[in-house]
Amino acid sequence: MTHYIMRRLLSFTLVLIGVSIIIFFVLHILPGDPAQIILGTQATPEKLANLRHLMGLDRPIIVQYFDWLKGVFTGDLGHSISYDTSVASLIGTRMEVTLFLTFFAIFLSVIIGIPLGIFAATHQGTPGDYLVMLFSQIGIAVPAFWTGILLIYFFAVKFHIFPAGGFIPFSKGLIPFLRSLILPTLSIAIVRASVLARMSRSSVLEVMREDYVRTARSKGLSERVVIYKHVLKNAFIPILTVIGLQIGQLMAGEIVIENVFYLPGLGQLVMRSIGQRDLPTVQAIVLFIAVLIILINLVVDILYGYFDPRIKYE
Amino acid sequence: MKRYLKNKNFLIGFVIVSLIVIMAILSFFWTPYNPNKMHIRERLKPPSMRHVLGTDQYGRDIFSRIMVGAVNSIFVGIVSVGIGLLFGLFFGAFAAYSGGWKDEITMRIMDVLYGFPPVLMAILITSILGPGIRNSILAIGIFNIPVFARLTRGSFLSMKERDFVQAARALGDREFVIILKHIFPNIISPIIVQSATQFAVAILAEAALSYLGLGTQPPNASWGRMLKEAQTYMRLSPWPAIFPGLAIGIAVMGINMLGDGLRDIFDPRLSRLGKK
Repeated sequence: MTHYIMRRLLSFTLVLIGVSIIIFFVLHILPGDPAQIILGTQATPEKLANLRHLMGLDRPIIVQYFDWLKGVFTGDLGHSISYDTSVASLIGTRMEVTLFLTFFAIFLSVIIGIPLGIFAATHQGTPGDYLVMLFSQIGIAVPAFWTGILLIYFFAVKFHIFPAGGFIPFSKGLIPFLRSLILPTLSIAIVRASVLARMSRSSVLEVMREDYVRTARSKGLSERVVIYKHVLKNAFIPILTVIGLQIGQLMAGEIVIENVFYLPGLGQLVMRSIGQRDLPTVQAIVLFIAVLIILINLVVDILYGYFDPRIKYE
Repeated sequence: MKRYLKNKNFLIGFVIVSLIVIMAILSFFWTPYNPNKMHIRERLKPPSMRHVLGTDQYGRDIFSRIMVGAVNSIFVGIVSVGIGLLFGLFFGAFAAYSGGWKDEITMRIMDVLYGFPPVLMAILITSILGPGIRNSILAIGIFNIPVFARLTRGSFLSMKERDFVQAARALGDREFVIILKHIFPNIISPIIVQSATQFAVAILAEAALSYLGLGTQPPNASWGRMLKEAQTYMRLSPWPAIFPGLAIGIAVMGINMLGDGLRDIFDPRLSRLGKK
């Protein structure tokens, strides 16, 4: 297991380096001068030169990259131009919303999606199966932010059950905190649960056709034992793969959902920063979210090794 | 042909996609109203005989704007899938054919690109190039590249050593001819199916980007943008927030069904396992 984890960590580091190169170079290679973007077209050449010097843009690009990377490793993500504070502290204050939303959305999509998929597979061809497939077909097709808008309309505007937006921190009480996150979580989870239900169904169906399942049945084991002991155990790995692949989409979806519900998280901060041409903040948040995606994938990868010992020896 | 007509998914998907394409083409010549013309007196009207899907906050006809928005979505889908196909096929084939460290490096670069969902890539690109449809297409296109590269590489690797490819090689065919004449026709089916999936992903991503204000810019109609504007006036009228979302859902569902149908037709073994 240690060898497997080490290998995963090495590939994690390589991908991290790749991500940092892309984020840094996209902002520096694309046509457009960051100083000009920040100061606008009316800026005088002196002011531009001054800002370029201040941001270190007049140094060789490789030096700039390594300086930036060094900063990232020491927790210095730069200085926000629009908020006049360190980007790291800005991210720190906005992280609560995003992290809770991510956790709740993953949790809810797993507890809705996987049982639905298993139910559909074990009831293949029945009206229940068709109903689940219909739910997942619709869930995959509609954008999460539209689901969010409809949820706001019904549960906030029409029936006043939940707030239409905004965030109440955990420190102000558990119930108001949960109430402020329930609609955004649902908007993301409905879409993700649909994908998970579909994938769980097909992976359970696939396992149910394996020889060892037929053997288990022919031994006279009850259907319950066959499903829980033989099918689900083996269908779990592909389902875990899907959960891992969903993380990126889920985090990206969150950026949109935070803007739908006016949640003061990283998604809202990054959009405001684009509007205010605050490039260091945009760069740092994109890096932060990308690293979070890779990190969660690393955890999923390590879990594979734990659940399926064969993977470790590949 | 019979196989196509017998497949329910394909048929329903084909009808939905055809209707949307017809609606988009028609919008070049005719729309019930000028989609950008404001009629303040007619603002936020519910669906009626006069305006079948109602009007938005400026009194613009929603149906006309959905028709024009369809052009936008189809355009983004075609170009971004085109970018993904062009570069993805090239990099995938290159990796599979080169093997060794060239394969390793190419695929690791693809892994890194795949780690960037379109919205994240669009944020990065638009923060420097500014918002607009061109930059959102670029972001979605870049996301599509590793998807097609992985698929092409896998398919190429499985075909490269097949008997008929070896036979062509033994007969002295050049590698380029082998790829074009023998390998490519055999890997085209999964690529077509994946193109449908990525087309649907592109429509959803474009809608999200336009909703965030990074994609299509006003006053041009885009389904995502229409939803953004409608949200503000939802207390006064929910209709402008309902129909553009329905249009996105129906379009994506149609394309997904078309893709599912094509997959079942090309590879009947998969259809027995349910939707993959």
